[in-house]
Formats: sequence, structure tokens, C-alpha cells
Amino acid sequence: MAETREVIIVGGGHNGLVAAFYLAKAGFKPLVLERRAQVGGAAITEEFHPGFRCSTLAHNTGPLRADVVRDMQLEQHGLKLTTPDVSTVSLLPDGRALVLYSDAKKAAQEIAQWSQKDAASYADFGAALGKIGKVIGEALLLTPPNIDSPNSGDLWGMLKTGRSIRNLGKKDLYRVLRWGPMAAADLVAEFFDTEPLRATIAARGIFGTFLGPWSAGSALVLMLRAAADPSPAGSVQFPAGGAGAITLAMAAAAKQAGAEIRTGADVAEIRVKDGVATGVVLTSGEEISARAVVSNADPKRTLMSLVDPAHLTPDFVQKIKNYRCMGTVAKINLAISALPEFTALKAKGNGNLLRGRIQISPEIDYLERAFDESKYGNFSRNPYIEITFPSLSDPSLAPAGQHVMSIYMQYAPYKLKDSDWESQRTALGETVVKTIAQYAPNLPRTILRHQIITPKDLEETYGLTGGHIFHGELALDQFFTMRPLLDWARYKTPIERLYLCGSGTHPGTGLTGGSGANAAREIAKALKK
Amino acid sequence: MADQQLDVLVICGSLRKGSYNAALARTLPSLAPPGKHILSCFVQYAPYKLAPGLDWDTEKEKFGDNVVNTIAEYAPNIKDIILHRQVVTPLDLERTWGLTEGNIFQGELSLEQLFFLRPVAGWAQFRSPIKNLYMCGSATHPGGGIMGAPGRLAALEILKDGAA
Repeated sequence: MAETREVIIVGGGHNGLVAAFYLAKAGFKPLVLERRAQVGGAAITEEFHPGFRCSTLAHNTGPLRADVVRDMQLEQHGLKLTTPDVSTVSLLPDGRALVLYSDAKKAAQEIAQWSQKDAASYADFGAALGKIGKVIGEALLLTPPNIDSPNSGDLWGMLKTGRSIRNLGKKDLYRVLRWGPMAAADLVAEFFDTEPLRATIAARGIFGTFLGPWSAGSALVLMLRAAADPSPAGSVQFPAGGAGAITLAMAAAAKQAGAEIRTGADVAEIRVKDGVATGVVLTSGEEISARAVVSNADPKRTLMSLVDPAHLTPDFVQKIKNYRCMGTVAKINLAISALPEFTALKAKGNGNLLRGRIQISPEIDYLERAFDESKYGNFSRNPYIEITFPSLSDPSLAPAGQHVMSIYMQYAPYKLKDSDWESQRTALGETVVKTIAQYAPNLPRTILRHQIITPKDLEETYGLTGGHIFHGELALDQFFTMRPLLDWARYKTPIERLYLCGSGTHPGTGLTGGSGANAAREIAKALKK
Repeated sequence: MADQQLDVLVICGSLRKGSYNAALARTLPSLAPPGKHILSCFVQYAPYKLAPGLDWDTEKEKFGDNVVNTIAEYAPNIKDIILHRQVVTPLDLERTWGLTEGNIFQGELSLEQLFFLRPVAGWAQFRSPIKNLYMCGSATHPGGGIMGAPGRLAALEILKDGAA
């Protein structure tokens, strides 16, 4: 006889754990089923070489939503976040480097060495992002309204956001309306003359997406990220213990609140009877029934594979098929015997400057060319790269004096033309090391071990359909009331008592916990009825 | 034979319009001597700003050759029947026809420059910050090609203001 649970959460990624916490608090004893041996989804720390542990996928917070950190008491559960003095170092091929500091004033002083005008604009841009971001941030807290028949809560939310938008004043109001559909490259050019500054900020609008800096809508991605973090190039926050420490703290908080977590529990199917979700079947054959099933998996995986699409209308299946979910990011982790010596940083002192994020995004054209290749099914030969050294914020991640280097590489399109990722894996790793070696010639000699994670690995090992790190493209047509689909943006699905809580729901984006928290609120409401 | 002859080949490079769009002017025979024709084609992409070291005045004829060569892949006799060729570059569009930066719609038709944002937020009602100065071109709502809508809408607004 199968056991019956109140709520099952499929997948223990950060949003699944956040949802588990809030649902436990609301009195539903959720059972989280995680396929892998550890919870965390894309926010994990794993040993990939004896003695070397790295943030396997995500290496920076989204940042986490403040209310989530507070409600879950993540600090009491062991989360220790540090914000380095340096936020971003942008390397140039001519041996120079643009250094951005977490402190806005200090950043402006550095930018003044490139352009006095840009230093002033940096403060203006940051202030505008702050004001606009606050308003967008309010919308990110909302459950997207029901467009056909908004209820009183929807109207209240829209009214409140509408009022905040009006209160922005004319100048920023026009900016909100105008910026979203723009190309990030156009937007930054309105503020800045210095090319590496333009590119370094615009890079925020393309990260994780199938967009180049000249693509319309890349400014929306930049604004969405700025809503969580108004610092122009994005701030950095590293957890001691790597990204996995975030989800370990979340799991501890969820358990304390009353959730149960089972790892190594691979859900093969979400059972549906007469249009209602009734439970899950594990690959082991074990069946667990439940009053409600919440999926932290992406919308495509949930509705096209975990649920038998026969339970959905052909029209809905067509829409979910068209949901855009093609990843562009690869991840390379290196175990290194010594820190790379970046030519551009020698004069400035290498050490402290490596504590933030190091970017290879020297000019807009460089990024656009990197994107061009991916459009035609090739990975970028001169990629956009973001590097962090988790072992600098937490030396226990590597043996004494040695380090781990965590690298996002873009663009690595999920679909390769006339090739497959297994045969391109080595070439991808070589391209990344060769690219970085142009800026730090000693790097190849220090490498003890490569871990190369292709978009295909993201799909197969970590369950991200299409290898998309955000569970689906962040774009105007897949955003807010249209995330994942128009009419289905309120964490519900056409299957009764089957809900979504992952990054494929509003607000999506990175490691913020926003989707999980919003979803739990709606699910608790629905289940209490 | 004569029927195949083109009197004038007009090549108009512009930034925003369907790619090689060649059309024989058969509908208005008065445009060319009997039996001869005019071929007009919009060519995309011809960016107003060329890469450093290049300029439209020196690239103009090379650009024209490139277009003819491209058409010749589909209509091999094209080169033999050209009597005269006119190439209009984005720079010509600006200098001769007054289209700033050679944009044929007086400004990009993109979401952030449409409707109440055309041409700019706050000045999308055909008025300008200068009193009694109005705009009625394609840079105003709804923009677009030859349809007259901006002109008509502008006239209605101007009449409302009673500026006479």
C-alpha cells in the first residue's frame, strides 16, 4: 500500500527548498524528493579532484532575496556570505584592466581614470537602476495577475505597482517603459564612452541567455538582474563553502520547519488521474501518493516528460513545446596549484583583485561576435568568460596554497551544428584555457584537473532541459504574466494540484529564491481552500 | 532581345528593408523607352557607419558590383543587359534626400521608439519642445512606409492647437 503525503516537491534545488520551507511553515508537511545524492540543484559544492571542492555550477548568489534569507534564518543555519572589496575586474587584451569596486564611490574613482564623464554617469546609472529596480522588484514579489479575470488581490498588486511606477517621476517612468525592449549595447552607450565599461555592464544583460548585446530585450535581462541588485555591473557575494552552502542552509531551515528531504529519490513520473495529480512514482518503482505535487523541475521536463502529455490538451502541448529553453552557458572548473598571474594586474597587485569576479568582456563587438558563433551552432572560439576563485573566500575548498577556479563560459549552444558535445568537450576546455592564458600566461602550467560541464551535461546530470540555467529564456515573451506561458503564470498547471516552483516561473533569474517563495504562497492559498 | 534590356538599374542601399528585392517596372511602361525596363532593388544590410577605414564614397561602386553579382547568380543575363546603374548609399540617402543616418523610416522602428515613445517619450504627439514647431514625418507615430498616417495625425493635432 502506497503511503500518502500532503505535498511532494519534485527536486531539491534552491527554489524547491525555499518552497518546502514556506509550505512547512504553512502547516503542510512537504516531502522533497531529490534525484541526486545531495540537495542543491544548480547551487552545489562538490569535490572534483582529491582535496579540491568547487561551486560546481552557480558560483555567485542572485543575490538571495532579503526576505528569504531572513525568514529562513539562513545565517543561523550556517550561511556565511562575504562581499569582497573588488566586485569586477574586466581584462583587456592590451594588458589593461578595468577594476570595479563594490563601493560605488571607489568604483567611480577608478572609472575617472578612464573618463571623468563616465565616472559621473556611473553614479547616475546606478541611481537610476536603484530607483527603477525597486519598482521592478515589487513586481517580482507579485504573483503575476490573472489577465482574463483579475481578482481583488491581483488588482491591488497592480495598483500598488502602478502607483510606484507613477511615483518614479517622469524621467524614470519613461526609462522603465523604454529600456526593457532595448539592446543592452544601446542602453550602456547612452551612459558611457569607455568601451570596456560598456561591455562589462552590458554583459549582465546577456548572461545565461540566447542574446547578444545587440539583441533587442537584452536590456530587460539587465533590468531584471538590477531589480535584485542595482550595482551597475552586478555585485558579488560568495558563501563560505561555495554555492552548496546556500542550499545546505536552506535544507536545514526547511527540515527544522517540518519538511522531510529524501535524496537519491528519482521521480520517474508524476501520476495523474482524471486531470488531477495524485502522486509520484520513483524509478525504483516506489509509489508515493500526495494531495499535491510541486515541481521544482523546469516547465518542459515537468509537463513533457514527468507528466504524460496525454493528460494535456494538444494546444497546451504545442505551447510548451515552443517554450524557449536552449542554454548557452558551459561551466569549467579547474583545480590549480597556484593562482594565475594576470598580466594586467601585475602593477596593481594580483592578490586582492582576484577576490571578486574576473570578466573577459573587453568590448561590445567581442561579445556580439562570441554570440554570432552560437547562432550558427558553434561554440565561441573567443568566448565571454566570468571567473571566480571560491578558494579565496574559503581556503578550505582547496589544499593549502592551491586553489579552485570556477569559470562560466558563454556561448556554448545546446545544439551544435554537425557535432555533439561529447566530441567537443575537450575542444571546449582547451578554448577556455587558451583564452584565459592570453591574459594569464602561467595558467596552463598550474592546472591539476579540468572539470568540463557542457550544456548536455547540464541537462543529463543536473536535469536542466536544453541546458538552460534559468529553466527557460528570460525574454519579454516569457516574462511575468507569460512565464512560463500566458494563462499559466501563477504557479498552477492545467493538471489540478500540480504546481511549478522553479526558475521557469516568475520571477525566474538566478539564485534569488524568488520563484520558490512566490509559488509557496500561491500553493498554500490554493490548498487551504 | 530588346525586351530584356534594362535602362536603369537603381540600387538603393538602406539599413532596414527586405533583402534583395528586385522588381521589374513592368506596370508603368512610360518609365522606360519601349521594350526596356527599370530594375529597382532595396539592398540590406548596408550600415550607415562602415568599419574604420572604409567610407561609402569609395565603397559605393564595389557595393553596386556586389549586388549585380548576387543577382547574376539567379539571373545570369543581368550583366549583359544593364545600360546604366545608379547606386544610392545610406550616405546618399542622408546627403541628397535628407534622411539622417540614411534611415528610411526616419528612425528605427523598434519597441522603444514606437507609439508613445516615437520619436521620444514625452514628445510623441507631433509637438516639440519649441512652441509652434511640429513634426509630421515618419519619425512620428505610426512611422512606417508610404502611407501618410503620420502626416494626417500631425495635421489633426496642429489644427487642434489652432496654429494658423
